[in-house]
Amino acid sequence: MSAAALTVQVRASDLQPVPAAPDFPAQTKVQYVGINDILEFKALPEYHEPAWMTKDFVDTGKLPPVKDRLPKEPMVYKTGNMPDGIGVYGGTLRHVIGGRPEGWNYSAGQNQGWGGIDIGMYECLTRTGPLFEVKADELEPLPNLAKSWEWSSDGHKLTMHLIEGAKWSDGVDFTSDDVMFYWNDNVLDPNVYPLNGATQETFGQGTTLKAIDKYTIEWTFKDAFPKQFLYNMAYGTFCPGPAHMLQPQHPKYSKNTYEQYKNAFPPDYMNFPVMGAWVPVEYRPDDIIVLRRNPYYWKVDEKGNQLPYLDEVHYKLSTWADRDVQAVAGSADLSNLEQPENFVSSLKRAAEPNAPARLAFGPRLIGYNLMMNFSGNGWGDPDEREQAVRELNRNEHFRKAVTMAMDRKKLGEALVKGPFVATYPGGILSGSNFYDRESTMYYPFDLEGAKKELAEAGLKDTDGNGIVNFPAGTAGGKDVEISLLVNNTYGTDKNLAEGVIGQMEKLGIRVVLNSQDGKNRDQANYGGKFDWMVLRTNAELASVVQNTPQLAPTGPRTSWFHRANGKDELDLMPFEKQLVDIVNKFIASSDPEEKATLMKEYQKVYTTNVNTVGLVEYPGALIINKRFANIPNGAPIFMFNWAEGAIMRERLYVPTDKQGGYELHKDALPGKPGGAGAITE
Amino acid sequence: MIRFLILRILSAIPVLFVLSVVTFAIIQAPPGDYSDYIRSQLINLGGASFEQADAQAKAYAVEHGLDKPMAVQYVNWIKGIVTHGDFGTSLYYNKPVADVVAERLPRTLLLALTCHIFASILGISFGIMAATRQYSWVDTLLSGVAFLGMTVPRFLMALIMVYVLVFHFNVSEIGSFFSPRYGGAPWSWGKFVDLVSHIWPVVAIATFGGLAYNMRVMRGNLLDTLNAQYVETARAKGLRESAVIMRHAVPNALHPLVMYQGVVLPYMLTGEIEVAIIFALPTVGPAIVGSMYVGDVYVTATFMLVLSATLIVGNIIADMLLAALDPRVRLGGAR
Repeated sequence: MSAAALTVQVRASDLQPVPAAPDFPAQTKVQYVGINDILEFKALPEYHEPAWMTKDFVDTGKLPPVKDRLPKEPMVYKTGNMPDGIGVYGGTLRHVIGGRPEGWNYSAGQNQGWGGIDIGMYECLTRTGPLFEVKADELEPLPNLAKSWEWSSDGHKLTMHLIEGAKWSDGVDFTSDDVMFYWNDNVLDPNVYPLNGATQETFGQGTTLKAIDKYTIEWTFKDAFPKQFLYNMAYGTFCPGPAHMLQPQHPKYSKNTYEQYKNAFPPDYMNFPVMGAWVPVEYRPDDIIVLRRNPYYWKVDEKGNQLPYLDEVHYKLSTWADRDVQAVAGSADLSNLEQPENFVSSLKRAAEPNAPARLAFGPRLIGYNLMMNFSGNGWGDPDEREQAVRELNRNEHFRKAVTMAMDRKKLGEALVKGPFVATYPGGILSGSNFYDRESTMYYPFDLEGAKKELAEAGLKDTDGNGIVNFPAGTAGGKDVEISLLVNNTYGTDKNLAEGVIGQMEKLGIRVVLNSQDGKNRDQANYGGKFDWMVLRTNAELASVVQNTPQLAPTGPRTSWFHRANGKDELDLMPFEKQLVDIVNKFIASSDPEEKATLMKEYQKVYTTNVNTVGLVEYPGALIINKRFANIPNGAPIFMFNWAEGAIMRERLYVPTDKQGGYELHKDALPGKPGGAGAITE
Repeated sequence: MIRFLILRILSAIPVLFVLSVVTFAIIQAPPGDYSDYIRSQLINLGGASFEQADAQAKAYAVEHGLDKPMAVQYVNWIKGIVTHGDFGTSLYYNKPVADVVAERLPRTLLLALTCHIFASILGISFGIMAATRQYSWVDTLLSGVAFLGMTVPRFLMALIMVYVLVFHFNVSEIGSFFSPRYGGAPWSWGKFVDLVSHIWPVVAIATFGGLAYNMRVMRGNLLDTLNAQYVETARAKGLRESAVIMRHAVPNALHPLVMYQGVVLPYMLTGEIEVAIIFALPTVGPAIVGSMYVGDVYVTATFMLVLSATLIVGNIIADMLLAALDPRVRLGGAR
């Protein structure tokens, strides 16, 4: 064997699968199950409710008996999937958020302050949050308001059966009327923008929906078996509102303007009807939102106990930063720890015996990428230097040089010491159901090898100042200077950007920080005015099945870093076309195995070609008060949905001896819509 | 005096007008507006795709006039204020700006007034103590305290305070004005205790920071005054030293602090921005910073207008107080 061949074989920076990530303290492992292991719909021989409800509301005739408040076949949560088993009634779940409610009209685009308020109030046709624990080969949205469905033999029609006999929290029947009002008068009405922007196209070009009867709806798609759209029928794009409340306010049925329709139910309108577990009964501006249990909630445990176990939910209206502080301090019960800089101090605090909260780390589902602007087509009106940088970004040798020069271990240690942060070469995150380590290719850190790749890209240091120059005739042969766009609101973003700058300097590239706050950063990004940017991963790299088109430049504006010019022209590189092709096939496929295979191919093409320079990946941690039982192991802070949806809060309970005295409206239920709030009897 | 007051008020109106123009322009100078914030929220919190979020953001901009030229937006805003006292609608809170101001201003004033009173009393007292014991250990200690108060950033004090209370003293119920139980309850002794237990760190930090200036000014002025000729005359008359200090020297040394009361009013209104943000108090400061960050332009512009008005009012009040305190000004004014 020749010396050259030996050299090639032992070169450290050659492409190889990414190393396995280490385990870390406080990690809880997902226990993967099938969908039927979590829930099913069936009638039970008997049903139960809190004793005070029976005494104060049923026995006095204010509410019908619990069996009459439940649907014919309620949703039953399986005991085997509950980490701590059947729960007990009582207790309060306290959140802190930085958002403020605009109003209750989700269908017309109002947000309720985020932080899971809407997830707790509104229910959707399907559900995705708990899918983090579903086996990849069974992955499909959970049934919810649509309790079952079947496809026509040609795959163009989907018949969905709604849960029969379920009621809104004010006792009015939930029927296909609610679904059709949402579809016809909110989704299809061009003057209405439901929260999170549902449109007809969200469910497929030319898709139609009609009601067959009170509890049956039928979708008609142009494509065959477009199962991908089942995910879009979950939070947050198909969550019908109460038609009996909203329709009279809609301009088609009243003299209201669209603005008046949107604002018809301001946050101080109490007892707004919901299908969710809790109903708003108190609102104090900049102080708190209080919700009480929904007496018509249509879910039970296997013993027939009507859910939720928790009687009350609080949302303290504060700041997002305060959320973590309050959860650690014990004044709040739930938060998401997302800044690795805080991991160690929070773990130390949680380790103390008298600490009120514990940390539960999930899978590594937060990652950061260095994204390069691939648009050589004029997006953002680049000047000569900017265009030259884009041509460099499109050069495979240049991208290899950058990724090989990235010492990811050092970047991770700069954020937090310890085993939390893992090497991330880009692409699908390791916590995803679709992740395959063997397909995730990685160019190990090798500064000398990187410099050789830089030379292959035509860059040399012609003036001897340590920074490579553009070739003569390109951007004046000047030093290669690249601006790096970063969000200055988040410490992690800035820390990583500064790390990148230091490491690129060793490679011989001068990177200049362009640090902007939220909306200014967005303007620069979506206006195409960046060379590079450091950006946290979005949902599609965690779940894959949500916002799937954004995995590649499948359309003029689906990619975060490669978009069309003013004439909607994209200039895709060959590997990008491959990615687009794979993504489109994934969307069209209804075979779970084929989907998994396609994503392995996607990951390989992505990482081999350095579609982005992955930097780090790490887990988020739930900060959860120790009072609470039934927190699923390995629940991510965000994957298919936020933790508030993933942990199935309606199943959470607090053992009787730990419930404390946090309730503000003890033994109370929501009153009439628009009424005074909680009533006690 | 009345004529003086009227002239000052009349001259304030064009100043406020110019300030409103400048403020509105400055707020709008960075690229982007509230609709960008909406798009970001939909993508990051709602899980929407870019196209969905972008369409909704654009619709919001049209619906709320954010797509119009800045000058048109400004004229609409001023017209609303002048014709029917309408300061516009808060985009973030989705309610009238007047409501946001009405909610936050009173508690800001009460909190700031409390801090200011403590800072003034302690600062002046410490200043007197330090000045009358110049170069003693008391002087050194108090000057050291004042130095720290002036130089340590308040947000740093606040962060350290939060960390120590939560991580070392296991304090829960930190931040905000009340615990949920008392927030909506009628006033009672229990509610008052709850309030104090929540805001004492903020008051402590603000007082510590505020007393420093008062102390140093008082100390310096009192030292100057104590060496003045008329103080020597008072001593020569055989008056007790305490009478010399409190009756002759202190009133004169107070003049700069009286002037300071006027300019401190808008500072009070910002409610110790940094500290309030870290302790998550719903006061004016966080509302200003928060609304600027998200592009809630009418809230920011209105609060800036309120601050400008209070600055002018503060200066007028300071002039009046000075006239009342200083015979030379009072007698001169009468003429």
